[in-house]
Amino acid sequence: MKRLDSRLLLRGLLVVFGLVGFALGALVASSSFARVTRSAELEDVFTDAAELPPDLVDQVVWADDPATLERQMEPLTRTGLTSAWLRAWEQVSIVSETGQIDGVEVYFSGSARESVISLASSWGGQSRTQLGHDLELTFYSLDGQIIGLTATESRFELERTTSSDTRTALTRERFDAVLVLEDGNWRIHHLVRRDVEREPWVPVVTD
Amino acid sequence: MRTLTKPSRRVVGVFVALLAAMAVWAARPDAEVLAVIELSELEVQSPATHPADVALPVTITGVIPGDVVSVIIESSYGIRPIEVIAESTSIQVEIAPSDHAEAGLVVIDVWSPNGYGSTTVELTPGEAVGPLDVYLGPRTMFANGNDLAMVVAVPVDVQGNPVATGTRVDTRTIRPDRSVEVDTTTTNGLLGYRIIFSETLAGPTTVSATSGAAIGPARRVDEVANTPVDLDLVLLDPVPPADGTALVRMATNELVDQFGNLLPDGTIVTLDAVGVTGVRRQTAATIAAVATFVVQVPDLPGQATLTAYVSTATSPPLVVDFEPAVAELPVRVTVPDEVDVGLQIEVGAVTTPLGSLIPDGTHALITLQSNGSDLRIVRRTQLYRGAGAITISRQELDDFGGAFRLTVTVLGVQATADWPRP
Repeated sequence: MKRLDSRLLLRGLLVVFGLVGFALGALVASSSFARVTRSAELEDVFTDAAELPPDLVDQVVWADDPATLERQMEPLTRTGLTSAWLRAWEQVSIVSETGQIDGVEVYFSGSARESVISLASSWGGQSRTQLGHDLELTFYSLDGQIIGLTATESRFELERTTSSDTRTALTRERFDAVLVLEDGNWRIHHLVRRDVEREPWVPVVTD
Repeated sequence: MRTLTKPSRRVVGVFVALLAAMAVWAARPDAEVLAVIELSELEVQSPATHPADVALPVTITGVIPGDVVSVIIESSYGIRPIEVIAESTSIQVEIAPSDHAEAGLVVIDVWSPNGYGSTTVELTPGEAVGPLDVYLGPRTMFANGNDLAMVVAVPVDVQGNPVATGTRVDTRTIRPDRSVEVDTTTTNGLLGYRIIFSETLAGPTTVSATSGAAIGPARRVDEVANTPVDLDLVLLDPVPPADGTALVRMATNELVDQFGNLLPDGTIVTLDAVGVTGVRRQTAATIAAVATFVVQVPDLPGQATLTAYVSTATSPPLVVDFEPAVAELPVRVTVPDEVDVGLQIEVGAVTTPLGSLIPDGTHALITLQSNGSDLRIVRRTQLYRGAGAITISRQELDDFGGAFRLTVTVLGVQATADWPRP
């Protein structure tokens, strides 16, 4: 009787083990299948385009144009310029998060493009997300091909993740920029940061 | 109490161990809720300003010997991380120019396992190097002494950084009359520019720019004639009769602006022709400041008024009288012998005032108007070698009543006859 009970218990445990193993196997298989599916359908087919968050457009504030401009900016040009500026920074955000440089040449040209591309692989663990911009037009060429602007305050959220923690900081920065119209797109040709006001890094805690 | 056999105890032990491992795994803390590390403050020192093309010294104080210290150089476009192992509590790091290539304000963040420090450095660009980035536009301007173009130069240093504000940019402008203008401006907001006003002589103006040793490619802007004065329209050929097919050439005078500059080739001139056949509009491009039009004559005689337009200039109207294209229009009506044919109407040979036959394909409109009613028979035929013919069946003629007035119209010229003949 004791021997029979032991055998029954042993068989029962084997059945339990079998079920647990089957469940784990199914879990691994479904996870792998999901990854393969996601890779094929989303990450490969749909590239990371610089989607422009609609709310972000409202976070761009243009100062009054200086009276010394040789040409007044057309409203449609300003709309396109605003979009180009936001998309360029969105592209920087994508580069910082993924290292992908596919869209860089759409929004940057010349040495600016080379710099963004050359630094794309160096972001590891740190990212930059735009929050808003205060812009001021400083130059508009007579033929409408070149624009100079000053971002009197561009606001970003920085995030740095290491093996031990994740920290974030808000930063307000001032840039001078030159944009050129190439193939119908405004592209950042030069970008020079003039000032930085950064708040302390704070740890990110999620309960 | 029953006891398990030894193999059973092993299996139970493995099972319990597995459950325990799963419990430990499930109860693991999330990465995000790891204990927050309080960072000590690292002292980071560097020059407030520093050339972008020279190695940047950074002194870090407060690190623990043996710690891996991350130095992150954040420029306008991204970050470059450097890792060093602290050999003492104070270390000095030389950041190579290639690791801080972008000029402007650079943030240097220093992270150690339990410390953080930061500083900023204004990296200054070097001297301008060639080729100088030069833009010129618009590429044409009116040679009226009042139009303008703009040359824009964006000097950069050897690392592609825009040079410092206030950098001198020299421009040289060679006018169509070979005169040379030299001017100087300075960069502001990463670029320098100069306005170039047009003069009054049309031709190519060449603009080049230099900044220090940097030389840019020369660009050209065409100074072109403005609105023409004394726009006129003249006939180049004798006016042909209104046969609807002949072509007549007419041209503008030589188009020049108020300063005597010829209008550039390709200037579009519009010609409006208003006559008895309606309104026609056509355009021509100037060649050697003259626009030539080839106009198809109307197919009805009468006057046509032609007017040319260029920009805001309008020519005085040119009135052309198109004579009838038909000089002789013989019409013969016969009664054939065939039973079912009532009448045969033959037109031709129709001749032009020059004595030639009218062009093949010209239409003849033949109308039979009943004398006693409103009935009408209308036929159209194309003339070949100046002649054409139609037949009216006997049945049609009987329905028609027998007596009518015949009218034949060719290119607006009519011939009439009554039937039966008076």
